[in-house]
Amino acid sequence: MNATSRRTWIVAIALGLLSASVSRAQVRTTISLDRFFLFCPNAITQNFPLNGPVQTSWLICWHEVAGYNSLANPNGLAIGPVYFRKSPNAPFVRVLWDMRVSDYFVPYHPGYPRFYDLSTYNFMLAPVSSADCPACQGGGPISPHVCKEVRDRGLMWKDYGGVRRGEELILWGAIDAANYRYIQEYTFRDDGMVIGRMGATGQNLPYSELITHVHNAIWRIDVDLDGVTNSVSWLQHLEDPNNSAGTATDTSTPIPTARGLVWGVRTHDALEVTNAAFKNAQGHLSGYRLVPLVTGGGLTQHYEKFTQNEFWVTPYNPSQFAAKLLPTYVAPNPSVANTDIVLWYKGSLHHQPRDEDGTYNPNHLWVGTAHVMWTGFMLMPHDVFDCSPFYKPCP
Amino acid sequence: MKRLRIPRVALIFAIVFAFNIALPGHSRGAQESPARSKQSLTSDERSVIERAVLEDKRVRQIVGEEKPRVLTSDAQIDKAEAEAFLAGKTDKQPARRVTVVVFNPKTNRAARVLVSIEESRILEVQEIKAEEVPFSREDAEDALALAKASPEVRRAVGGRLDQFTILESGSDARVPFAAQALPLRSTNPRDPCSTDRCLDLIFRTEEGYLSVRAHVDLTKRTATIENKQDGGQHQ
Repeated sequence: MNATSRRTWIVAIALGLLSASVSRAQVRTTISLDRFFLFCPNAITQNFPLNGPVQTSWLICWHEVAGYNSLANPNGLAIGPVYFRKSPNAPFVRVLWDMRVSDYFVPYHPGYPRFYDLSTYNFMLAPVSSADCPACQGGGPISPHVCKEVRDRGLMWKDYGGVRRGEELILWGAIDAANYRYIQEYTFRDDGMVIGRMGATGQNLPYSELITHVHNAIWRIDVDLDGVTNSVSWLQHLEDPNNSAGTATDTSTPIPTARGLVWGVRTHDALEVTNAAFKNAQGHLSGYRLVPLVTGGGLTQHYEKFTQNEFWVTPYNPSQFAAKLLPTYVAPNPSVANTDIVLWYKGSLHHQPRDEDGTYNPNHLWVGTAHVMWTGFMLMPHDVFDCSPFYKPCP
Repeated sequence: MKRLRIPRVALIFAIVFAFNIALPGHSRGAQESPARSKQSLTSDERSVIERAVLEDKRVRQIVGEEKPRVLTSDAQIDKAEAEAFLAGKTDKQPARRVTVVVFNPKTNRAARVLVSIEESRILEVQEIKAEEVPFSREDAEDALALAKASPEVRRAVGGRLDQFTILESGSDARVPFAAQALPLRSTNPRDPCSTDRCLDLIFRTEEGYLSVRAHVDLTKRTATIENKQDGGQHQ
């Protein structure tokens, strides 16, 4: 082969590989969209910003679970799979396979009653109407039980050079748990953030209207970061208030086997999911962090073992949906390194009844309703973008 | 030579490019899926599954020959197969499976059964404790019947007790006298509800909830009025 011929081959192969990289990006997107809608016909595509050139996009599959065996497959609004695209030319990357509430556990202060509001009875999603999600607020029912809202989310950033507001898409439904309603809300923001929240509202428990209790929601979050080969680390901020130097450190401790972890009120505990093959343009390992959104300054724990950790990490197992069985899921110490993992998070609401919840009428009937209290978590992208999104083009 | 070089470049380029675009072509054969969620069962699927479960000898050995309660979950999709489908590696839609719990309230024995929907085949049968069995509409109806037969509950609720009917969760029906079930679990080993199947009934009228709860032990077949505002356990 002479020099000219060699050059020809090199040019041809280079062109071929170039086409491969371009077409692969397109193919990945094309296949994802094509297949995604076959797999999930009611999926939602959401581009941000709502006006102007598209910068980020979500592909969100959702469905309602309304079976009669809520221990094996908890009823309610289930989200996933979910894909995120960080720029118009980037591929869609999977972030979640399945996200849902596993259970609501509600113990009353006297030690009794102790309700499991999803796993022991087949409570279903309550109907929603345009009054629940009015069009003037960017909303509308997308099923008889699920609302979609797309709206301004307030400030995204504000600095010396200007200001920008952000936007978000919200899907929510409400479990009809007899006297109570549990709002299952999932938010997908323009900046790649996912937020899951529980809202507790409704009528206080008859005959125990004035008894303090705790509403615990335990979410099962099957994170798939660009595939199923993921790892988890436990992040902490460590600082000694007696240290006059005022120094602090951040630690990242890999979690090799399934376990539960206690959230620390002073240590900003979080879990970070990464995929060794998923990096941004800066070569930084991309991750999503599970960060508690704590209401009221703390998270309660109870006698039941599964409530004695706020975080749990387990390997993916299609038959494991029951929060109350978490201690048995982790007992054999299965590996959670470089594998398909599931995160669990418990959020708590301390509900001390108040006159604003209601009062008794002369016939001793309870009149009033408890306004919504919220708790939840966020899944925050970390080094997923190459630079500050929605600001200026990356330098 | 120059005339030959251009086609060679084009040929190699074409081969590499064709190889790369072969994948999307693969997806064209994918079957259209129905508009409904893949996780929902049709009534036909549900009845086929339940029949298969009830005819299974292993299930019958556990729960006996009497008519049991059957609790069927929505379908779950095989994740590995779903991934392969989404990635265009196969045109085969992912397999769906359901978990069925079969419970005999008379013997208090229960089985959990894993069923393949496409194959109408039972994959796994396992005995489970009665306390793991989720409560059903039948339990609520049973509890309301026990409550209506209880003089203590009748005294507390009054003459309207007979008018109450069980209101299904998720229903927006305007039922004037709605009874609702709240299943209970106890952590106190001295409380019968730590092992028995217990639930509380609450009563909603058009003016609001009655400030009363009927406590029903389905295992012991008793119905009483909750009077444990101080949190005492059932003894």
